[in-house]
Amino acid sequence: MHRLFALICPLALLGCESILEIELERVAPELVVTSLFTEHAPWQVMVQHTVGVQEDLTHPSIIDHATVSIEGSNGSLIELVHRGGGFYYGDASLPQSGIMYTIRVEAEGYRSVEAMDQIPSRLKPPDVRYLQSNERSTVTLYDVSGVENYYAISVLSPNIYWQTFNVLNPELEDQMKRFSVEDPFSPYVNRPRVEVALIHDRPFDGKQFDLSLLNNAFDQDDLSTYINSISKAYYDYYLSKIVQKNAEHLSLVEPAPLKSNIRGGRGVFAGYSLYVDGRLTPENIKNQIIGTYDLSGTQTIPYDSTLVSDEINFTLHSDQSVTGFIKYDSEGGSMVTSLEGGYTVTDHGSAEYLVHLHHDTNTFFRNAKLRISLLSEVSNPRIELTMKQVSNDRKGNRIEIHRTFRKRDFVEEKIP
Amino acid sequence: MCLAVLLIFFSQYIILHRSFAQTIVVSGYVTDAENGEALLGTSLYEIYLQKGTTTNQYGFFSLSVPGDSAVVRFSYQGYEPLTLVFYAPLEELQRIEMRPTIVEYDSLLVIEAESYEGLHQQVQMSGVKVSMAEVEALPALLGETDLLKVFQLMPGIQSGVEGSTGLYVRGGTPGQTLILLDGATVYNAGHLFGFMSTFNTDAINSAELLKGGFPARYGGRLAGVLDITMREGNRKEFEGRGAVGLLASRITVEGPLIRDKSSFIVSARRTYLDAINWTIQKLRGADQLLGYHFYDVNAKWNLDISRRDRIYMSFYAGRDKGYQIDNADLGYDSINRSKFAIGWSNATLTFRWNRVINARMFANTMVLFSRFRSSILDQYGSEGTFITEIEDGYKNGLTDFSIKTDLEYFPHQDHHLRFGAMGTRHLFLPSVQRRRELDTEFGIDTTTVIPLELGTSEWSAYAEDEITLTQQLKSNLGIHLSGYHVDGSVYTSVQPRLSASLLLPREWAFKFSYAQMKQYIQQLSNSGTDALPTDLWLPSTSRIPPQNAWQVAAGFARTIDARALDISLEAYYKNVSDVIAYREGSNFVGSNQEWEDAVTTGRGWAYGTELYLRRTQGKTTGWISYTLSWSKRRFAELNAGEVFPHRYDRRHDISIALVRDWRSNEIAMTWVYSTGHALTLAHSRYRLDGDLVDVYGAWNSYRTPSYHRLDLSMRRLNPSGKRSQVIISLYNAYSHRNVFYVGVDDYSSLDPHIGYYKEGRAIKGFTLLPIIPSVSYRFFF
Repeated sequence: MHRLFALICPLALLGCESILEIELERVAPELVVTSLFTEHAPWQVMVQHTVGVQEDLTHPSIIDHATVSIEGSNGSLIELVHRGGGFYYGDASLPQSGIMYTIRVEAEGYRSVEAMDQIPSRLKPPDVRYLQSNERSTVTLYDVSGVENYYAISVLSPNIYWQTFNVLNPELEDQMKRFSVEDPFSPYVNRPRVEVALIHDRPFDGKQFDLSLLNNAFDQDDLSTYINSISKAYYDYYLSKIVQKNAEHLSLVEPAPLKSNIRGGRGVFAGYSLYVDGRLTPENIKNQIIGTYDLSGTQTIPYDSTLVSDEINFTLHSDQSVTGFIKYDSEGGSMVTSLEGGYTVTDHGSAEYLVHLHHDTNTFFRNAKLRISLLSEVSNPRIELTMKQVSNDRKGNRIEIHRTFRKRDFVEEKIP
Repeated sequence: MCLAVLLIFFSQYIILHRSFAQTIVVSGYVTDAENGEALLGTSLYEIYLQKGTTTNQYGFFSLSVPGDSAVVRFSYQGYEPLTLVFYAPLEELQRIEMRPTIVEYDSLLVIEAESYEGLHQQVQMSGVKVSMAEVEALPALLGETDLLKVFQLMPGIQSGVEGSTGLYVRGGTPGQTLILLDGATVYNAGHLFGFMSTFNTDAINSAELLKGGFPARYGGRLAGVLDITMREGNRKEFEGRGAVGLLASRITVEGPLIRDKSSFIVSARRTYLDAINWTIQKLRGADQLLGYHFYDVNAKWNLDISRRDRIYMSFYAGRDKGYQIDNADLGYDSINRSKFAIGWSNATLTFRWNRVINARMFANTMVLFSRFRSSILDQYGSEGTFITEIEDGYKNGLTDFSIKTDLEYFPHQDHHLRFGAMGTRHLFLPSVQRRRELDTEFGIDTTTVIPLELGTSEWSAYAEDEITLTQQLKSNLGIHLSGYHVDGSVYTSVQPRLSASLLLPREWAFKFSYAQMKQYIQQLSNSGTDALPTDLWLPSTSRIPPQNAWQVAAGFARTIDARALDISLEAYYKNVSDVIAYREGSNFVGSNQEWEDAVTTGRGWAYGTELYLRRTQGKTTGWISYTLSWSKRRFAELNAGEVFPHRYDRRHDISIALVRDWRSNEIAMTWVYSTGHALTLAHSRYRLDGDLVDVYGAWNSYRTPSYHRLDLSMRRLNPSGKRSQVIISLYNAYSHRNVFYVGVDDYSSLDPHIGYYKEGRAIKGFTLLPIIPSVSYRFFF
């Protein structure tokens, strides 16, 4: 519409482009509860609040004083505890299939919210076959008839920051929706962005169905395929998120609200059951090393230099082959992250790995930590981090900042 | 089935007709004595019997009077009344010529069309007429007289956004109003993104818009029917007229080909906006080139091939094209090029044959052609050592071929029977997408075209009778049958129609109407826009059923002759089903979605009250209208299935239009006020998976600020008596900033006080038309 409007305005020759700033009536903030639960991971719930659309979103919108409880239809009751960043964790107990869970979240100053969902019944494990050196793969689903089943499919490579793939089945063409998330599988670890395809069983209800995937993968990649059987709430929420995300790039488009099963608030409380074919299983991921580098104060570029480009590269040195992910957290936890990514491992026998962080120009190191996670296959690696920030200001001045962090700067964290 | 219904109607009237043995039938045409133009809607009545009729859309009338003589009074506002005595035996066809009351132009305004019966005498309710004299008298944007914008000042008819010519009739959309130009459908009635209508008033004889109480002869749309008849051209002498305005100029030439037997009229209009823009941009030295032009041509020819037969050929063509070209020199002999262009065109062709079968029966047969096309082109690339280019083209449109026959039968002074049938072949282009990718470095030059064409057939038949049941009670009873065939699916419809008028004491009348309508072709609009050429015309299909509506209206009307004052108060309730809208997050242009996947169907209802006061004669003429209305929608897939206000739900809509004679000038003003339109905006946000997620309130829960505007104009007649006029007008006289479009602007800016970037969103209301003075000049030759 902007382009069309730009065309209309000068044509009218009437001094248009007169703009009125419109102040929307402030709407009371609502709680946003996000929890995707499965049998493989203890309870984790993220609680934040909505922020007025015309308000500054830089500040964290997390809720750290909420009372979060989850009650199962079997009488179980779990009280979750805040452990920073708006994340609430339960005890070691795991959600179970077949039990309807009700989450209740209360926080002073907000309307209480509630939601119900359960983990879908476990399906017969799918068969996964890789063809043509990983370029293609087939996932055989054994759908159950008489019920609406929903699937979330992902293909993950440890070597590619953002693994992409396509579903080739023509009968799914209309409904196949893909989206990318930071952490669809386990709320514990910081992960690269992963594409997820949402599939409804409408075209193959009750039948054995071969899902044909085209993977953007290297020959030597050790692919892992995730097949989630997801609840309707999960499907509806993320489907509407895809629609909203896609709409951002279209002109003359209708609004696309997110569907939510949180009564009185926003977000999603949804169960899924997970089947993983590959090495990157939740168990492997769980046994990782997580550590942080404190980057506070490392930004020395004066703010008034009006940067026109800004790029940061981290180089990770290690004496061993490692697989992992990297994420930058600034003050307030992950909810205000403006820099995040995963590192690309190109294993040429070298001990050096290039870490390129995808970020925007809002990067600012302020009480910031660079969090690195490594799979447990690597024992006590000697790692070193080099940061190089290259900026250009409007006058054409090139500004570079270099800093090296060594192992001693790396603080290991315990997994909650 | 339709044949059976028609036969029943017909046989009844054969019987009825035979029962009146001693009857004189006065029939013929009423025309303007000076130029031979048919006078549509001329009132005529037998003085002693106190019963009468009006001329039809072609100037024909037939009046049956018991006995062997009749004293008939003809009256048409702005013309000298004429009383004629007819004795049997009588020739079948009379040629009645009426003379304008005011022929000297220095005595100012002639309101010519609003004529015949007072409101209380008409069976028809929910109808409004405007005369071209009124259109020309009222203020207009940049002096460009505009028929549709005058209709927007009527009760129950709303404009869309600022400056738009879209007609929103009783909560309906522009696509639900049928616009007929000499019987042919006009699918897009807007020039310049809807700021001007395509109708050149110099070429138009009459225009009537029905909002409800639809007679059975009309069908195919849910909300309204705008029936426009082009002028036929002066049958007596050659003449011309023209106008020079800031935006466009127009010229009309007309005259007899064979005096009193054949005439023609040709009228053309073109903007010079492209030349003005080009000059301004050159003076500014802009890299960006913006261009726009439009034109339209109306032509009509007619010939009396016998005393009973007359043929007509009328033609209309109009086209708009706008473009934006950017050429950015990157240095190193490399240029970035981009072009965005949008265009649309309409064309109609009508061949019409009028035959007076006998004094009681009139036939009109038409062969019609109508074509609409819209296109969008988006092209970008670079040119240097190598050329790269990506070009996306998109087209939408449809072409209609129709044949139609209407018969009017006047068996008795208390009956006026109409029946007819129509068949149309629609050829839709719902979506033709074309993509060209060129890269000379890699030898790529591929063009992908995704054509999608669909042919559908629509047919209809109707029968209606305007019956005078008693001196106090009149009704119009009818039935409209229609059918539609698409891709193996057939839809049919039986639509009863009823209008009734009960005369009350003190010249008041109570009126009631009921109508069912069905619409087989659909117009799909984005909620954030208003009647843009990007609105798509689409067929009903096996997946997307036709739209349905029923409407009931009741009200009171009164004409106070002594004060030339019409008063009307109407209330209506309209229910629509199977209306379409885009799904959440959908659009069509630039999307890979099949259009049927992008839409969802739902239902809606609208209700309201309309008050209308109009003064038709005197030093000061004009009207005041007020509409209090609600329009709601419910779609299972929108707004979580909850009811929401339609985008054009307007609680209050007020229009005042006044014209005043003042010395040798005519001063006119219009003032409009309406509640802001409804929009869906995100009110909050949160982050999820690194993305910002928008949180929306209820659908269309935000209202733009109220709209109001005052326009003024003064038409100064040349004191020397020559037939020329200077018109000075002031659009938006107090320069109220009315919101045309609401946009959001996500920003991220460095806050030097806190030392980091702030992210936020600004909601901006773009306003378009401030105070705009203009001068235009009209001339006659």
